[in-house]
Order: sequence, then C-alpha cells, then structure tokens
Amino acid sequence: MKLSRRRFVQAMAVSAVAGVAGCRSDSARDADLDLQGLTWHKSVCRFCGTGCGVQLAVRDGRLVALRGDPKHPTTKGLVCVKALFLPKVVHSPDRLTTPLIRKNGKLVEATWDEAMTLVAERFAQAIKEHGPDSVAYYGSGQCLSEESYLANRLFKGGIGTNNVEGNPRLCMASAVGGYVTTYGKDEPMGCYDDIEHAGVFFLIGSNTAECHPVIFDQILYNRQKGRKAKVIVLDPRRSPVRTVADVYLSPVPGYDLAVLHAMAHEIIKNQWHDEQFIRENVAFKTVVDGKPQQVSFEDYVKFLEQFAPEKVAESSGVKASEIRLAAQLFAEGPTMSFWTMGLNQRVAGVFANNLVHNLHLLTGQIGKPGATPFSLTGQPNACGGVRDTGSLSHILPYGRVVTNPEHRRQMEKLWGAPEGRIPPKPGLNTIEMFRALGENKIKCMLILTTNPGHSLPNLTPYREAMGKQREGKPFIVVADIFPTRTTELADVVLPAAMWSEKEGVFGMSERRYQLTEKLIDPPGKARPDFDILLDLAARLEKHGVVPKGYISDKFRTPEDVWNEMREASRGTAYDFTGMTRERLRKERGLRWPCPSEDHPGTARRFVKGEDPLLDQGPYADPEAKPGQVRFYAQKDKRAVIWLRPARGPAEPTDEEYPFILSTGRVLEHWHTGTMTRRVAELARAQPEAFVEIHPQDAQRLGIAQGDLVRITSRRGEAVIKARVVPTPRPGMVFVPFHWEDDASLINRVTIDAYDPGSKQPEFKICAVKLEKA
Amino acid sequence: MRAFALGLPLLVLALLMSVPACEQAPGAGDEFAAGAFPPTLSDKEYHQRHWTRNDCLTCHETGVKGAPKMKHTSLPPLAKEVKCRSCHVPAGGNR
Repeated sequence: MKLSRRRFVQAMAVSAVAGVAGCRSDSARDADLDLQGLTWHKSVCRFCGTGCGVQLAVRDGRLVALRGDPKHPTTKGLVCVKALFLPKVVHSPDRLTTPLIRKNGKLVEATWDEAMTLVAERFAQAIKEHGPDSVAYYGSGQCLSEESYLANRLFKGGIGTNNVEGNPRLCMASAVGGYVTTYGKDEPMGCYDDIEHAGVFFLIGSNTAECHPVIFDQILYNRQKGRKAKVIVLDPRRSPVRTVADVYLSPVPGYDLAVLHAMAHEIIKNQWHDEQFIRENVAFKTVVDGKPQQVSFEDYVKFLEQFAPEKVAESSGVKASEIRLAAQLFAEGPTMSFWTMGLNQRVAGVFANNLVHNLHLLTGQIGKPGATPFSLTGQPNACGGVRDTGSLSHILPYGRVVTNPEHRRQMEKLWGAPEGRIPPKPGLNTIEMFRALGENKIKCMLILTTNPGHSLPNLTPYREAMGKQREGKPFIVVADIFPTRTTELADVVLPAAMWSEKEGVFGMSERRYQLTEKLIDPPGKARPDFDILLDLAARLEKHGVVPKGYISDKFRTPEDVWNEMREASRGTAYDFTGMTRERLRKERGLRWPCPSEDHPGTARRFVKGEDPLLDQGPYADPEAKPGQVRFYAQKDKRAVIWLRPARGPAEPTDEEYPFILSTGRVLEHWHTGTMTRRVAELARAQPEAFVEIHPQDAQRLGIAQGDLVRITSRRGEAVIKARVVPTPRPGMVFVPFHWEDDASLINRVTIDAYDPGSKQPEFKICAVKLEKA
Repeated sequence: MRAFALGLPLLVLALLMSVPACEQAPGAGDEFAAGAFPPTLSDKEYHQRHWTRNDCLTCHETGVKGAPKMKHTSLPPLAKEVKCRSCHVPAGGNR
C-alpha cells in the first residue's frame, strides 16, 4: 500500500495527538476518538433484514470504516460485528474482477463482450429451440430492489416465462404464506417501534441474539431498562435467547404446532380472548376437500379440545404448566412475536405461521403499540426486493399473482409487454427448478448474488444438476463478488459490484425502503448486476427473443426503474408512489404505504389514523374510527383464525436414524460465509463447523469434545467436530451451515421436502445417525 | 519534501509521548481508519457467557484486574446499555 504525502502527514498528526492526549496504560483509550475527522456517508447494512442504518467513511476511494447511524429512527446507532467488518469484506483481495468463461473444463479470463455475447447466444438459442420455459432466473434477497424488479420484468414480461425464483424461497416463503392466508396480503403490519412498547416478547424459532443482534439488543434494553418486558422463548435449542427467557418452552422439533394450539386452548378456557376484537375483525376457517370453509368460534373451541395442555405435553415434551404460563403472559401483553427460520423452514411452515397469527387475533394483540406478530427476515432485501417486487414464480409486483388475469394485464400494460406474454401458470419453485435443471429440462439459468451450490437442501443432486458434465448439460451463468461453491460449477462467471459500489434500494423487515448509494468504484472490471441485466436484455432484444426496446428504450439508471416501480405500486396495498428518489436520498428510509410525496410513511398498517390507505383510495373505510383495525386486504375485512392440523415433520426419527438434525447460524458468520469467512477476526472467532450434541447423547455414543462426528442421513453425510453442550435437546443435534469444505457441507445431509403451500424446504428437521469418525 | 519535513518531528514527538502504547485496534493502519474495527475478546472465562451482559465497561473503564481501559464517548446511549457481544467477538473461537 502506497502512503501518500497527505496521508503520511495526517497519520503523523493523529499519532502526535494520541500521544499528547495521554494514550497510556493508566488512562482509558477512547475507541471513538480515532474515527473523528472522517467524513461519513449515510447507508444501510447489507447483511440481515434488520436494515440497520450505518455510516460509511471513504478515503482515497476506499471504505475505511463503518459505524452505526445514531440518527437512524429504528436502529438508533446499533450495529453488529458483521457490519463493522464490512469494509474488510469489500476490499478483500480475492474479489472477482474479470469475467470468466469455461473452456476445456477450466474457467479462463474473458472480456465482458465475449462473456455477454456467449450468455445471450445460449439463452436466445434455448428460447428459440425449446421455448421460454427452458430458461430460468435464480435471484436473491441481496440484489437491490431495482435489480430484482428488472430481472423479473425481463423474464416474465420480456421472455415470457415465470421461471423466476430466488433464495427467499428457502428462508421466508412460509412467512409470506402465513401473512397472505391470514390477512390477504404479505408483509408485517407492525414495526420496530413496537419493540419499545411491548410488555411481552414471544420469540419462537428465532435465535435473535445471534441472527438479528440489533433486534435482540433492543429487546434486552426494553427488558432491563425500559418497560421491563417479559420474554417467552419457544425453541428446541437453548440458543442464547434462552438466557433472557422468563418462560422457556422446549418442544420436540416439529411438534410445536400443538403447543401453539394448546396456548389458544388455554386462552379461551380462561376467557383471556378479546371477544369484541374477534366479533369485529376475525373469521374462522378450515379446509375441507382442499377448499377453505368458514366455521364458527364454537367450532374452533371444539377443534381445540384435542389440544388441552395435558394432552399436548405428552407429544410435544412441553409441560402443561409451562404452556399455561406462556398463554397467560401472551394474553396480558402488549405482545410482540418474533420468528424466523425455526417456523419457516418446515413442511408445516405456513401452518405454524398461521398459528402464531391465531394467538394475536384471538387476544387482540395486534395493531396497537407493542402488540404485533412480526416475521424477521434473514437478508437485507428479501422483503422489498423479492417479495414486494413479485420476483418469485407465482407472483407479480406489489401483491399481484400470475394466476389472476387482471393482474397479468395490469403488469403487461405497465411494462409494455405483448398481451398474453406473462404465462397464467406459476413457474417452477426453487426445488423443482433445480430438479428440472438436473433433468436438462431447463437449458440456461442466470444466478445473481446467491450461492445455491452451498445453500440448497439435499445438495448433492443439485450440485450435479448445475455442474456435472453430461450431454445436454444446462448452461449456468453466475454473477457474484467472490469465488463460491456455485461459481465453481458455472459456465460463465461475471464479476459483480458489491453494496456501496452501486446504487439502489433495500427494503427491510418493517416495510422500510432505504437507499444505499454508490460511494466507491468496484474493483477491476466488476459491474453492478443492474448493468449486467441491462446488457443481457439489450442483447436478447437483438436476438429477437425479447420485444425490441422492451428494456433498452426505457431504462438507463436504477432511478428510471425505481420510478416505474413506484407506478406499479399505485393503488395497491403497497402504495409507495410518494417515495421519490430525492426523498430517499435525504431520509433514513420510509415505510410504506406512502401514497403521496408529503406522506411521512406508515408505522402500523391496517390501523385507522395511521394507515393512509384507510383514508383514501380503493381500501378507504370512512366509517372506521381512529385506532380501529381494518384488515382491508381481505374481501370481508376479516383476518382469519385457521383450524390447522398439527402436522409433524416430513422425516421423523426411527431406529436407523434416531437423531434430529437442525441447521442454523452463528453471530460471526452470515449464511454461506462467503463474505464473513474472509474477515480474519470473524474467521478466528468461529473458525470451523461444529455439531452441538447433548452430553447425554455424547456419553452414550462415546463422543468427546472435539471428536470428529460422522452425521449421516438418507441423502448424504458430513464429518464435523463435536461440541458437547446442553444446548440442543437430547436426541437433537445442531450444525451451523456457514462452512464450505466438503466435510462441513451440512446441506448434503438436509432434506428437500417442502411445505406444499409455500414450497419452502424443511432445513430445520431431518433424521440422522451419528458415529464417531 | 515540505510534508515530510513537517511529519518527521511530529513522528518523533508521538513516539516519545505514547510509551507505553495503548492497545492497537485490529485493522488500524493506512488501509482502514484507525479504530475502525472492534477489539476481540480474550479467552477469559468471564468473556465466555456474555449474551446479556452490558456491564463490560465496569472493568474496561476502570482497568480492574488489568482490563484494557476503553471508553466509547460517541457511541449512542442505547449501545452502552445492551450486550457488548454484538460487536466484540472471541479472539480464539471459544464460546
């Protein structure tokens, strides 16, 4: 690193000041003093869905520091360690910097023109010879909103295929299914402000302390210094959230739906339910012969009889007394529920989500400060970028679905697509898409900003689908910032610009859309995914497989696309037409609905006086009184309490495979670890994969701390070092999935069975056997 | 040359006055801003269970038992009330 004269003088001055200031062993060093004198720029963290406001310091074209933004309205200056080390990720020496094309089995350097010419030729050839459904897009909750919207627009309205998927299918599709079936539209009605007002937190299937540290910090603050909230934790693994639990429920993995019904049973039995709220706002439904059927409150009460706490205790492993206590606390409220993968990554994921909503609707713990169900999300832009823009195979932007002819017509008109171009049938969901790849039915796939060669469940056949050489092998294009277990399978690798090297919007879990601006240039020849998509679209137009000018005549910048997105939201339940680019540059994000340029954004949806859509437009309800809840996204304005069966896991344990494997995360690493494992401090803190085994099980199997353990399922095996701790329940083991070496790839073991509604796979539960390796 | 002429005396002054030196935060240097990255935690027993602790500054502001003395003057107040573990990770991987 060359030291400029200016930098040399600055460094000398700082050293001198530090010396004069008495930086000695007998005085406290001020960790923040060093960061003074830098110029800070507003931005947003690019890791989880918390959407922390951050500030970035740039010097000589490099990011040199990140800190929490104390002016951010909801995260208030808090960040976690992953964010603080982001500058090291951005400037990691092994960033991809030039396009690569596979020749004679090896990836070799190429120009952008060579790479994109090849990509366009192969896509055009497939579409012409095999039809639009022979190509597919697999995106990410880490793409910027404009990128996901543009890809969706290109594939559905331009090429004419609904084979548009993304990794949110693996992490939050069940939450979407829960919101849509209960309230009529996706996304939470509450917001992070509610953390301050909550009297009770219900943490279910969420290791908030490690996966959403800033949310957990705010919960801690409320509990210790604020309202002194109580905490109910429902999780078979004693993750760090257990340390703050007033009531801890530890069900056998996969048998928690019965516990949720038992809590409802107890709430009604003790008349803790809110009769008026139910009368005004709730419908009860079940499914008969595959169709929803309305039932009465009395039918629901009768249905719950089978879930009396004593009966449930036996099957779930949770004591009846604990269920009663949890139910009582929940009803006292105001209660804010948080959940994430523990509920979503299940074959009963949608049902589990419904049952959490049931508790809120039953008790009226919704639409009031501190009272709301809230699904946490794992990526910075799965909500705003994928769910909201409709970038999955069955949906269209802003609450529209591909099966609705009027919705298709609306989008074709706005996009300028030929009438009938968007197919009426959903495309392939993620698992089926990769299966079709293995059967050579999909001929070309574009993968942006994600790592399915590591993150898919039952990984082995899907890695072969992407990379195994065979006649008719599909053509795989991957754009990413680092070499990954997916780029190694690709035919073309495109070097992508990273966060802070490009401009765009992230939409995080509380409906807040935040602009992240370009502050530095990408390394080498790396380009934003947005530019890659524009380039591909223009070339496909020339090949005649996308209407001429469909994208090339309309968009030059992300802002151009953003303005069309605002228009697409007009009149929908997502309306954010008031979020101009100018406002987003000034503000620290805005929460939709935000239907006009003078609207400040909405803290709580569905609440008269807070939600502007109840005042004007298609959802207006002039008769509602301030503070009243109106679930306007349902035709009858009633949210649904569902009578769902307490469905268990797809693969229960048996004699041959007697243990339950659950996968998850640690604080220091993020998802497939391609970014965080490149930071020395984070890599040292959590250097390798581990399997948590309960001491009772370890003793029985003769496994000691640090022994290598072979974990085998019906699909594959991994060999991982033992951590003998009483964190998982006896009979359960836990493995984080961040490490990529062959022995640690735990997704070779996990199951690809998926929820029939949400199509989300059951990463959280499969049957395995263990042996000392 | 002018810059170096100005810088050299400052360097000497700094070296003279900063002994014994305070702990260098990881990542300090020209590539990143000094103090950009949070120090990691030593493998002490009391650092192993810190998921709810927000009292670390009790030792680290006073230097009890030789704890490196630190303060966070510009951190938002909320950050001082919550767990330090969100930003400070173990140095050696022990939990």
